[in-house]
Amino acid sequence: MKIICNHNLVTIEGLVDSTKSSEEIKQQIKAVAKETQSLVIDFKDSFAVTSSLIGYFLGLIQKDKKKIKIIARNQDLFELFEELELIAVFGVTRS
Amino acid sequence: MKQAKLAIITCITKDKTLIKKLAQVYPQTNFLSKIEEKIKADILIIDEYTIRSNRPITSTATRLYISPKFYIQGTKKPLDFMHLQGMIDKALNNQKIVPNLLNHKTLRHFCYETFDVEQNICVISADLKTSEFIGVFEYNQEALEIMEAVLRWRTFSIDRLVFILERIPNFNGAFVWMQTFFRYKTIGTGQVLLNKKKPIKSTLKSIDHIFLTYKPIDSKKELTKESPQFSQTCVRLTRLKDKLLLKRFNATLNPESIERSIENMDTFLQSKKASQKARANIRVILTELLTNSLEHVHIGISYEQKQRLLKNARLEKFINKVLRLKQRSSLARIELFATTVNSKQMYYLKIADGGTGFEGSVFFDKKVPPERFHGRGIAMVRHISNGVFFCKKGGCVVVLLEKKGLI
Repeated sequence: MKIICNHNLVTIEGLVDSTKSSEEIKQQIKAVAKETQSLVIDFKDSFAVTSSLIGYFLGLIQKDKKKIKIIARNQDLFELFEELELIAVFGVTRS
Repeated sequence: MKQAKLAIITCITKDKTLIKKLAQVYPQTNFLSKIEEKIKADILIIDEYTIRSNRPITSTATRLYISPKFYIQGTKKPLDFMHLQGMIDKALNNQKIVPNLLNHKTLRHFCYETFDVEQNICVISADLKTSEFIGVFEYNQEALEIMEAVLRWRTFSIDRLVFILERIPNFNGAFVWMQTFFRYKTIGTGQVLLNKKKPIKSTLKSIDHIFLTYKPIDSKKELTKESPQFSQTCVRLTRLKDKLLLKRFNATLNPESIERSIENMDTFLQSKKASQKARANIRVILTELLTNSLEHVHIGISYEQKQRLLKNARLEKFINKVLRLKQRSSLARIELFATTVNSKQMYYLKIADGGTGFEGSVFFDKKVPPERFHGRGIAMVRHISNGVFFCKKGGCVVVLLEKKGLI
């Protein structure tokens, strides 16, 4: 998995399928979130994420009052957000 | 998908004597009221035997009674599902359905005394004063047909299914139940009650190896129990015949060991040339389930406590602190089996952690509000698998996976 940060855009290449990868993402996003109020998180390849990462994103919105937009390029990941009724919460789009 | 809750209560039997027997059991048990209380459904689809009860139904839900002998004006046409969908739509929008003066008593009269042939369906609005008849049905398992139709529409969600399963040669409700749950993952909860003490050979045969209660039970006892039967969303898988153990190992419940165990499984799957996607799915499934075991079984964090800890960003610290203080470690046993479900090759991943069970509805509730920072793990596992099943008393979870891409 590769994480690329560019201003408020965090691009995640590869799969998010473990606690380790989730923790890495959290650390990177934490650093970016210090500098900006709104973040765009682009999942380029992953078809799943861990629930802990979703919880972390929700924490950023609820507790830290950040704005988060998620790009779920994979259909399965998009459907997962749909299933969890989080499309509107994260403003999830396919591209 | 609409937020309306819809429940179907059905009896998979054609045996009239049995229907009478069940009708005798039912009024003493508050069976339906239990369901109603728990579900708070907008619509209930109620199968024939419940109509025989003398007990008035107090739910505010719109009910679709399915009667075996309901007959309307001599018409014999197959059930029009579009019509039924329209009925449900109307009911949800609180619109009056075709005016009719039927009340519960007259409904029973019409069902069992006036008409003598075929199946029919009666739609009754919440105030019991309006109703609609839907044509004669050509197939006897109409509740299941309706359920399937409702699910195909994908405009309603079914909150719960309850099947009462009897000794039925050549027909099996559990099989249909299982198939339905595989096909439509949008169903919230399912439960099958069995009411014979000995397993039914034909039933067991037709459901291949999946049986939905730990052992066949006396449904009368089950129904009369003031148990949390209907608040539990969990079912139990047993009698897994012809299973082939592919991999078994134990994981110590701490973060490092969990990671190692997942890697262990992944290495095995890689050696068997499993696809990247299948491996990733299993890694996510194991991550979610073993984390649950660690947090809720070994550490003993409650649902509410976890929310508080996450809110204060103290979860990780708390877990590490407890792990340092704990003198004993806990183990989870992970097993991967190959098996066949109705001639379809499948795998199931079983995780036994010695837990004591939980309120399943918490975990199956897909509508976890955004204010909740957790509680979505099981819904996620369910999304990426072919089904998640829990032992009724806790301690074990089974995840079914299709063979496709796996090994």
